[in-house]
Amino acid sequence: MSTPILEIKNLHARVEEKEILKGINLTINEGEVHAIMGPNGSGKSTLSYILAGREGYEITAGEVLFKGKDLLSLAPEERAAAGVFLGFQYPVEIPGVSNIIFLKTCVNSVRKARGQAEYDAIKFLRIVREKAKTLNMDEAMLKRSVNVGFSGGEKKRAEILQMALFEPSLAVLDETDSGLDIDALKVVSDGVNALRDPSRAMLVITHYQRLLNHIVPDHVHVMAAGRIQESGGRELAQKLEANGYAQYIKAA
Amino acid sequence: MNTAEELSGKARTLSELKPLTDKGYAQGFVTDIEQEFAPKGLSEDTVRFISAKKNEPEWLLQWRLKAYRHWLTMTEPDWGKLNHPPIDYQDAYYYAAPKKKLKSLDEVDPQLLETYKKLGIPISEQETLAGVEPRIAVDAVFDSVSVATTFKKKLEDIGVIFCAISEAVQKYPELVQQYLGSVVPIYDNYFATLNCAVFTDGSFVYIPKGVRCPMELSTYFRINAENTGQFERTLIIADEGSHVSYLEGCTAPKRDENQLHAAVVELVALDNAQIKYSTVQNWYPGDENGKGGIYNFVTKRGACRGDHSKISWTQVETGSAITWKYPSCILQGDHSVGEFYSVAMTNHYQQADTGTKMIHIGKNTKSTIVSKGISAGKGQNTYRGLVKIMPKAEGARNHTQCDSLLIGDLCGAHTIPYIESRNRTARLEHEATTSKISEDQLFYCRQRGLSSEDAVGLIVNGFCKEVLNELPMEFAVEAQKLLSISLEGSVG
Amino acid sequence: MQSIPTYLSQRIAGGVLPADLPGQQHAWLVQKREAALLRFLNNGLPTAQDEDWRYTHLRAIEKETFHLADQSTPTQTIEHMTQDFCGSAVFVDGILSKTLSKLDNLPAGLSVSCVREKLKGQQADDFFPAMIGADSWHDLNTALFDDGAVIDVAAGAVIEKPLEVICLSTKQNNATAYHAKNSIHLGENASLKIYKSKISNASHVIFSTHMNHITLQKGAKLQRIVLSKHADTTFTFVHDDVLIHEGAVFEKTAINLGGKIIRQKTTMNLAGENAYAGMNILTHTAQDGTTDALVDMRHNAPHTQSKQLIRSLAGGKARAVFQGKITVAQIAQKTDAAQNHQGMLLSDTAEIDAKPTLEIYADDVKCSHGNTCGALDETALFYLRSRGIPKEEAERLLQQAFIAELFEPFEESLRDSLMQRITDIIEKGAA
Repeated sequence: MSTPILEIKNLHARVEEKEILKGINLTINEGEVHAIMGPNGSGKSTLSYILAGREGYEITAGEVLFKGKDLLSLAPEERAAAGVFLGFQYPVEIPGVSNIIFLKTCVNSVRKARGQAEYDAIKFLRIVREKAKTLNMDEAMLKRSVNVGFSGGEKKRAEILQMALFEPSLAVLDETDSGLDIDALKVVSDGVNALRDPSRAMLVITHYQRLLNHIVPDHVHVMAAGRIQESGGRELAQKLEANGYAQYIKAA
Repeated sequence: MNTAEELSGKARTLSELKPLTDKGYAQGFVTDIEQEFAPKGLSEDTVRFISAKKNEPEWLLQWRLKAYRHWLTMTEPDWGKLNHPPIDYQDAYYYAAPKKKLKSLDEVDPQLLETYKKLGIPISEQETLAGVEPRIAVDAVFDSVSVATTFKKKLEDIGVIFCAISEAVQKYPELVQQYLGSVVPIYDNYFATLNCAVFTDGSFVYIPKGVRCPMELSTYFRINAENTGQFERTLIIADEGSHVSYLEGCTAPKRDENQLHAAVVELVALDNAQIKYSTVQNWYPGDENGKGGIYNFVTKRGACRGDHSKISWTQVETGSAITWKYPSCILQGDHSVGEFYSVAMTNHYQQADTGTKMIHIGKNTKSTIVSKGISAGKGQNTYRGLVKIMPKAEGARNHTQCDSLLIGDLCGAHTIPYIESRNRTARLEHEATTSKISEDQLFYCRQRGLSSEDAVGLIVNGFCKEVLNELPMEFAVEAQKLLSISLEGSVG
Repeated sequence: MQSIPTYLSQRIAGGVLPADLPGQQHAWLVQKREAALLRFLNNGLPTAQDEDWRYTHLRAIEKETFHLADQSTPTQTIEHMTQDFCGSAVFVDGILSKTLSKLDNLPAGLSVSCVREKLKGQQADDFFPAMIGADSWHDLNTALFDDGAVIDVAAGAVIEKPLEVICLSTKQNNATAYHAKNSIHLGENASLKIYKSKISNASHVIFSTHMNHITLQKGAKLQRIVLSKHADTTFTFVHDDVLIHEGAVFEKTAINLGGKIIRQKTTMNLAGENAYAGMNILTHTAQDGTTDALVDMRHNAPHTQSKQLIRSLAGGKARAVFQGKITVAQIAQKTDAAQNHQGMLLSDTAEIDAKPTLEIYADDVKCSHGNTCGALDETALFYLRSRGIPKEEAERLLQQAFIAELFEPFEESLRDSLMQRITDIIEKGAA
């Protein structure tokens, strides 16, 4: 078997004085889709931020390997170039910067760092249009400022569009379903499913089981109180739907 | 395959490269050229020396002397939010010029040609490809003299005058005499009056009736000599129904001393005429400890004399240790339009106190002000503006938007607007906001693969977009680059 | 010896302070008054060269000669802002009237006295600390102050019913002047409402200065409403200097109607975390006067919040001025400051001037100001008329809507009665 895409070994992390992750172990191989479910405050979002390299978290123990190499020493942009993509729960607004400029600048930065040729404006526009179409995105959205005045669904679609453009090896999707109605959820899930690939791994973080009806995971982990409490197949998600998180919170 | 290791290797390379790019101010070199100077200091003799060098008519000498004598009775204004040690007006040269005189473009000193080439300014007509219409004509001012003006002949053919103001004094004295000092009066303010006494060169533009100037006119100001002030004087007249777009750029060598630049620019737009005046100001800003840099005290004013005339100022101010500058519009003609689009950036110890005055006199006059201030390092950035509606300005309109962006917590951003309305049918709106680049925005961009500096550059350019959009294409690209360079060292 | 300007020549004849001033038995006070007078005579009145005074010109004052008001009984009927108050302090021509005031049954924790009373004591302290942004008016006020309210709320005392303060003027034959020093102190977690009204229909010239020192200790809450209807011959200079400690809440609504020269300055120092200041101002001036409202909001601690809402209306040959400044110190991260000024010109000869300034030294802040100036919205006017409302009525409605936003936070009965009184004053000149 080839090197796993992601290996998290005994990861401990804290914010200021508060320990949030208390020994996470998780391995994700090529082609696999993992889901982490857990109650609010369990550390799910912290884990996704740490994987993407957000500042403000102190790693007190453990390591994270990405394709066998240390991930934690890389700057966020280096991780992006290496193939780590984080779909934000709350995509950030950047007034005055149009989506298309933003996308082109990002994608070309990543391509350059990967040693790939940068896209020229015409080619890039063609690619973006194609991908936007499959996501049911209005082309006018590309001209608007990044995430400014977007509805919840539009923001998430824009995230998936970016993911499609980056072709990451690992996609971490943090609460992608939050703020979506059922139709938007379907479109976004279809977008994610279209990106499932034998060479790509995904980590889907969610509070609710409903997303997992659309993006069906290979493995499900329950996280509570900074640890993975139980792992299993997709049936674990159904069990949670029925029983809730109470037993894990108590156990922790 | 791209592994993390390869990438961190790349990051190392980048960090090794960084010191090279950190040079920042690329225009800080000195051209070693033989120059002649006026005797150091300021006196009536200095004024006479300059006037004699330019072979000026008596009326102009008398005008200069009148200004000088009045200037002696004036005191330096202190209302700006600016701090600087007192300026010693005797410890500077008021005239410096390359020794070799030239008669045509072909005779320009190769060293000067090289200088402008390095600055990216085309001052040779040959550089334009055969068969392609030239898009820009350049007047190059080196310290106190204009050293070259391109496409003069081509412009003359359609009646457009574009030359050094000293040349205009000789060739078109009646035009100069009619308009010089007609927008910025001789006793207007301390720095303008000083300029009247000792101005050296600058550009003169006249666009005849009904002519749309077929190319951008551009003046490039270069301070080269040490201890020398530059006192540029520019006069642009757009006759009825004419259009012109004018650009100015400026740079200076890196020096530990502070050099004074006190310019006066006057614009006159007659009926249905339009003047678009763009500036990318990149005087040497001083080093990261606040040593050196240009003191930029500038009076720019346009008069919309004719009905339906329009004057539009666009400025990107990234340079200078101190900027004191309020490009203004006097909206005299009915239905005339004034615009002011500004980006002012202060990093390290730079200080800027800049803004505009919109004086509405005619009926249905309209003005728009968009000001974007960016403060980083220990920079202090002030927008200061006046919108004044006179009683006869029926139906006047103004919209003002002032936004400040702070990068770091050691800088300051200030907004001081004056709004005075004396007509009930006038409608004025003013909005101001203050924001910072949030950690979230930075992280989001970095997660998408941008370096911190690129991310800041991108966000800043987005913040300034409304203003940058007003610049002619080539300048806009230049301005974006400048903003990024000026921000170097402002993020962690 | 300094020469005495005409307008003061009657009160300080020969350069000597009048003997009728309160507290003359205290050497420290006499000294203080004399020093202040000397400073005032040296510096003179502020001029247009002084940035804060660029819109207000004071020459009209210099033409008058001011006297102390003769003791007289007010003929004016007292109109209350609310009927349900906990006590009432009535000042007649600047002096507290014991007969008209009702201060005997104040709730526990609230004490209301006056400067004259305080100065009778043997151990009178120097209870007027320095104020932010003091200028030569403060010196004149210190030299000549006659009286003023001294209000104190004990720590923890929550006074439910509002305290009423009423200022009246009597009929006089001469131009008169008085000078008041008021102080309001709220202890920790104390709470008070003060409804003050200053209604004058005087036909003689009145000149007054009011220096108000206000302190809110931690967690205290003060709501202050000041309704002023000035005679067209009135010169008034008011300065509220407010110190707001941690978690304290200061809310002021000032209504300035009429007057010759009305200058109202409020400086607020948000000195502790989570302090809040709210400032609403209505200016209406329609003869030939100037009303100049200054707000100097200083955020000097993190997580402080301020909100300003100002509406200016100017008709006749009058001038309405708003000069507002928000300063955010470097330490005051997470400041949230908003300021909104709207001006409306009601005639072709009136003027509105605004100078909304931001001075910001901290980066993680939310600061904004908005300013508009214009006449009534033509579209709205047309819409109302197309629905059958006559033009005058439609204009009236829109003018009221323009003002009403200021009183939205008030409870309904207070809001309605205030709006009614303001409308009456504006439309009929009645009090």
